[in-house]
Amino acid sequence: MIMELLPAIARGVGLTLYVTGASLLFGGIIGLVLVGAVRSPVAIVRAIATLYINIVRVIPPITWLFLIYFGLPQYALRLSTIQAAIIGFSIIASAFMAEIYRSGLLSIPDGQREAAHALGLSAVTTVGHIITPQAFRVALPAIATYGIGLLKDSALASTIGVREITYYAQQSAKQTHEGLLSFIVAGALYIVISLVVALVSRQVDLRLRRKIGVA
Amino acid sequence: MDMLTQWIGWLPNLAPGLLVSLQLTGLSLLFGFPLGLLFAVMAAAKFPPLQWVSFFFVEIGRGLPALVLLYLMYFSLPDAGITLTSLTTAIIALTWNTGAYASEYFRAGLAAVPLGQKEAALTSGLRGWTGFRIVILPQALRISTPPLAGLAVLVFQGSALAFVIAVPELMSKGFEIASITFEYLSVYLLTAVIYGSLTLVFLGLVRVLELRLGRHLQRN
Amino acid sequence: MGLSFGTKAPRTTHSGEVAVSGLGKSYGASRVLSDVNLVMNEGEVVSIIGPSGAGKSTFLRCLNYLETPTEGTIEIGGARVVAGGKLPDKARLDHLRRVTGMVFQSFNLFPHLTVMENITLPQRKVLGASKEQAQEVAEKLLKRVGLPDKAKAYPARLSGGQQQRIAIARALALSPKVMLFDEPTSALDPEIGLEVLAVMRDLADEGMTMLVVTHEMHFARDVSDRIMVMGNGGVLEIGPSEQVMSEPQNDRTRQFLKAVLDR
Repeated sequence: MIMELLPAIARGVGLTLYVTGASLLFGGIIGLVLVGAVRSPVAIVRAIATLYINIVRVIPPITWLFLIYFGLPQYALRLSTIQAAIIGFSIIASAFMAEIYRSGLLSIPDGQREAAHALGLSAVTTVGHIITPQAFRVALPAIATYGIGLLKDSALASTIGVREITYYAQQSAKQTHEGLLSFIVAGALYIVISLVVALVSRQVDLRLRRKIGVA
Repeated sequence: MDMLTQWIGWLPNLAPGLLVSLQLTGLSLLFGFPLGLLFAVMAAAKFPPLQWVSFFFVEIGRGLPALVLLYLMYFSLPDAGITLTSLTTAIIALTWNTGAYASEYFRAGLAAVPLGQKEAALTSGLRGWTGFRIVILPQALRISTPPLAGLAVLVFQGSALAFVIAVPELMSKGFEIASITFEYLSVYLLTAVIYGSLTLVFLGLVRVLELRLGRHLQRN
Repeated sequence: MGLSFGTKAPRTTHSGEVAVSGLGKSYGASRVLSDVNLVMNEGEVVSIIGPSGAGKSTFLRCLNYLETPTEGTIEIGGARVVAGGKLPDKARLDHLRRVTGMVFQSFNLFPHLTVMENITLPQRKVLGASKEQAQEVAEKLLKRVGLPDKAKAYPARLSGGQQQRIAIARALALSPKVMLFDEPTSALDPEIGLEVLAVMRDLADEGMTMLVVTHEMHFARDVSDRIMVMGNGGVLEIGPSEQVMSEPQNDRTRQFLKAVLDR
């Protein structure tokens, strides 16, 4: 039975990875803008960014998806299920990524900025060549952990009809009446993907740590 | 129609849903936290099979998406001849999920109790369970409380997932209204506002709790 | 010197000269630095000693505006900056940081860059040097600080003494007129500190203008031309090294030297 269920459900792996990856990418980029805004010298910009981050975090992900997928078309913005899922998860990921970047930035000793200033490096060079690469490397494990969390959250996309792992597991459960097996297969797929991501990020992290020894 | 008047009109229909959401959250925490403590204690047991059982349940409870856990219960329990209401099914799934995450916080709390405390308990003749209960556990719980309170907020948000197995909670009630009125945006905005404001209230309580615990530690 | 600052910045000092007058810094009501005056000739080495909290590092860090002085004037290598509690205009700030090189107590090498990149990146970004030019300069400097084989290493792989020597090379790569050393050996074991002090001594012998905050009394006496003693945010006394060490004029200098040398 598993031999039939596995290929049927594994069809969803592609879209699971696509939705997760795209959302992490877009969320990561928006998160960069957000963390810049949170540290902006302009009070109103800081306030808006902080408000955005808090609003995103206090509303459950499934509510975000429904708002976007069912709510937006009322104003003539028709989205495909995949687009809606990616937009929703990107919004959610942006708030979390901003927090991750922020703690990455905080972990960089003042001496790094001072050395850059003393050498006369411009603000752009300091941020681009000195601060950001270090912050990113410090944040890498947290980003990987969040990515795995997002992978699991992406199961929610099945509720608006995205044909990812959970969607196909549900189909199989209904058609074959092998509910337990279907979701064991789905669960195993999520765990395997999580393990691969965790192992790869651990390796990368260890390599970077050995090489550059960032705290 | 003005959105606010719409919202006021819908509130009586949403209120019972919110009660179910809170009930689901409350019961999942009530069962989930002790389960988490049990998992944590089992993980530290000297008897390896207990460790394996704990590992198995914790890793599945954390490693699977909560939605998959929910479907797993929903589709498999009836096959095993167990018929439960969808609410009970959701409580079981969320309890497992909560217990798995809580066990990590309990473990961290237990690990953070200094070794000297354990030795002090032993040398004062408080062996085994008594020493654990009187000396170690209270200190561990104090350390674990803030992250557990944070987890409670997440469980409240997670209760919205029960929508998919037709538990009549807030999200389901919202969906019902939306399918009748076609006012999707307005309905889901209202549910978002309800979830958001309650989450803010809970987060505020967590903050107060953290401050109180901190103050207590400072006095010592 | 191809830099021009119009009429606002008359060139009153020669390239390696330093003239600081009336420099002070306050945070609100508390004064951490008051009325520091110092004139240095080209090629001169001045050590700054004194108890901790005396304002030595604050003074040094005001010279390249890592800390912002609230009063006084700074003239280094042809640029004059009048302190006013805020950063000077960009051209003056850039110039001030161009003519000074700084070495920190905690090295502050960039951990994600190799030794070679640590030395070449500032040259390329600040001086606009080509990669080849920058590497050529870096190789020469690595030889000069005795670490020619460490170009490809990352800082985490080096000892503290090696990191500090690389930090000196990184600062020198921008051809500063004046080198500022902020307790360069305080984070190092004494015997490791010696290898850094040796590099600094060579640098002094080659005629570099140097201002060194240090606890190394031997270095202060043997290498520097003059010693400036600071206490409570001000200058207690300043004079030729031998004289300050053997017959200090100020009571608090005497107490300080007695405490340090008896140890």
